[in-house]
Amino acid sequence: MRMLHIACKELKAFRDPAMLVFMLATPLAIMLILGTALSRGFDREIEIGEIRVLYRLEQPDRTLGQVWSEFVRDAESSGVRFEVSDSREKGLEMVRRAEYAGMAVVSDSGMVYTGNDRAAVENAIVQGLLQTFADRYRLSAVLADGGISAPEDVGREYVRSVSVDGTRQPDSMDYYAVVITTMIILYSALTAAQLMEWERKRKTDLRLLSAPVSKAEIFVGKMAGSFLLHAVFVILLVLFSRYAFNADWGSRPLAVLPILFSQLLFVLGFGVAVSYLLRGGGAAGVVIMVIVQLEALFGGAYFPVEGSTGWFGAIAAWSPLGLTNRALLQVIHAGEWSTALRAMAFNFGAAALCLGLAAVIMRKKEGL
Amino acid sequence: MHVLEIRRLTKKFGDVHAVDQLSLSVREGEIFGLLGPNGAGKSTTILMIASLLPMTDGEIRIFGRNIAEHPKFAKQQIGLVPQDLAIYEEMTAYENVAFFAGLYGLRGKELRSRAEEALAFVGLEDKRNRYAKTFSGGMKRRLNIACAIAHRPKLIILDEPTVGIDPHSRQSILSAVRRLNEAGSTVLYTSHYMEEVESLCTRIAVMDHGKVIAEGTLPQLTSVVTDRREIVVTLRETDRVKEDALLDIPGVRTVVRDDHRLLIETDAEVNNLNAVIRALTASGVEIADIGTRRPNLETVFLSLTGRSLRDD
Ligand SMILES: Nc1ncnc2c1ncn2[C@@H]1O[C@H](COP(=O)(O)OP(=O)(O)OP(=O)(O)O)[C@@H](O)[C@H]1O
Ligand SMILES: [Mg+2]
Repeated sequence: MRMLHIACKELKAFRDPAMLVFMLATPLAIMLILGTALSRGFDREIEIGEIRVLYRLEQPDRTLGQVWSEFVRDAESSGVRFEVSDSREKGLEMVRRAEYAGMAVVSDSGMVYTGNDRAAVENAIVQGLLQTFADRYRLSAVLADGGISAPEDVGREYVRSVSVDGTRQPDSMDYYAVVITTMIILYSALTAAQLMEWERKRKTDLRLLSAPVSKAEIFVGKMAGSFLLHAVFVILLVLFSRYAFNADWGSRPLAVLPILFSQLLFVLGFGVAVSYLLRGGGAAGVVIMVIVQLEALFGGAYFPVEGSTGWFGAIAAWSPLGLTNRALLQVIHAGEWSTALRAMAFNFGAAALCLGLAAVIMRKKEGL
Repeated sequence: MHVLEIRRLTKKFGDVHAVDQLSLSVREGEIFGLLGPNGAGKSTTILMIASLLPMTDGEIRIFGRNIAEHPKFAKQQIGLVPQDLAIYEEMTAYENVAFFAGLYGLRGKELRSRAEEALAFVGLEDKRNRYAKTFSGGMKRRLNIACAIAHRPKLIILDEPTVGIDPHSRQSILSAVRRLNEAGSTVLYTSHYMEEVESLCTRIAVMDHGKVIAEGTLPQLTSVVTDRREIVVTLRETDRVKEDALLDIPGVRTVVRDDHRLLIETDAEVNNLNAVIRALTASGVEIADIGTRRPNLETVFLSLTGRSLRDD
């Protein structure tokens, strides 16, 4: 109960004009600038060259083989080249090394498409194409077999993990709405690092600690309040960019909130953990600021880092922010949740670790 | 029944004995004054009573219960007014009071009426919806008190609540403390303003270097020094005063410089005022004002320590 009371007090920061500017006005302005001013450069970047995809046909019947080769010919004209792969393992390895955007394993009982995580945009396009193939195959199968019901079921579920909205290509606003939102979440690490410092500066830590509430209640109350406050801003950012800027957040924009909230929890935990490790004050702020800015760069907040090579690409591949961004883009543009589940598992795990660490240090420490 | 009992309380910061074997007890209904100069250990003592600072040694009991064993119980009985302002400037007066009252378990209607009551006690009821950052220093001090009393604590601890404020706010705070006491709260009041403690407190402990050096009612404390009298001289500047010459005058016991004042403690029955004036004019200082006064707490402190209470 007292925890809730403390959490409610944290929410009053909503009235702070500086908070509104930082959490709402600034990110929306950045989205608008990057999403519109840079749109031409952005389009060129994602449509660069042709998209190369591997495939394997496994025990095809005549109809399937025929429809597939027609499809491959058509796809070539729209810039997607399908090449046959000798073996499944070798093919997947090449996809992993980003030599190909993905690999489709096609049989008459279904198709599994495995895409490289870092080529989310390409994958979205390929999966859109595969869906048209599935439709075509279902039709041909129906014609060939004289209306037997089995292929129809096959067709409905033919391609695994294809986006409903697969035909719409992401533009730069779609990209920046996502990555600026996650960047702003990242910045809340700074607020979190100040959570207890804020009370110390006002000397209200004395009042909190002289009241009959435990340190744990204060900690959880303040964290929960801060989480709620930031969560409200995140929801506003998603809805505002969706409806005012027409950014693509998928068919149901609120479905991505669990991913965003997992990131928020991790970031807040990270902020308090660093502030406790470095005993609050200025040092923690500087360290977090540096980490946040580098993370924003490597995580793709300023420009897409997918397909980056060399040392930059190597670091980018390990960026937690990048993981969350990839997860979001794949859910939004391909309806693909596997990276999202991995990102959420990572975020919740890291959050638990950070919060645990902070709690242990806080218990041993005098004061807040 | 003792509201507060402190036994051989000690706090060491490294080699510094901020509080040194301090013992005292406060009875129900008292306004107990803790008087001492800067650095005497008043705030340190109070922080330990409020469980905000671990003690090095000793024992504190609130209503007979050891606070180390019953911290929640002790905290629930206490309303602490910290020496430094501890309020949220970005919240209104009412929100501040209501938030802190809520930490003591008050909810809903009761919380609202108690918060209003606390604001009225310090005369801020008509400013309830103003943000604390728009308040004057004196109003912030009053709010600082209101934040500690809405849960009707049995023991209110005020740590120098009148430092650096205007006379109007000071009067309003002193009167609020009296009314809180009349309404049933026991008060522990620290200050280094002797006049405040003299007029407000029913019992007084004089503290210096972490120890209680005298304790009792005002008449009890001053009776120790009824054979003394104090000559207070106000000077343009005290640099050129020759203390040795003054100490040679018959009856003079101690001489203390206090800002632009010179406090000369002397035996009551010796008439040496003329000799003092002669010695001062001989050293070439300009006397702005001179007078004598009956023994008060300052004389007590002076005679016990050889120093003035106010050295700031
Ligand atoms: N955290 C601390 N670390 C080291 N020394 C401290 C600390 N807090 C207080 N002290 C020392 O303990 C002594 C008592 O300080 P305290 O603040 O209790 O005095 P006080 O009577 O409240 O004085 P004031 O009238 O200035 O508020 C001082 O010598 C002070 O320097
Ligand atoms: Mg003090």
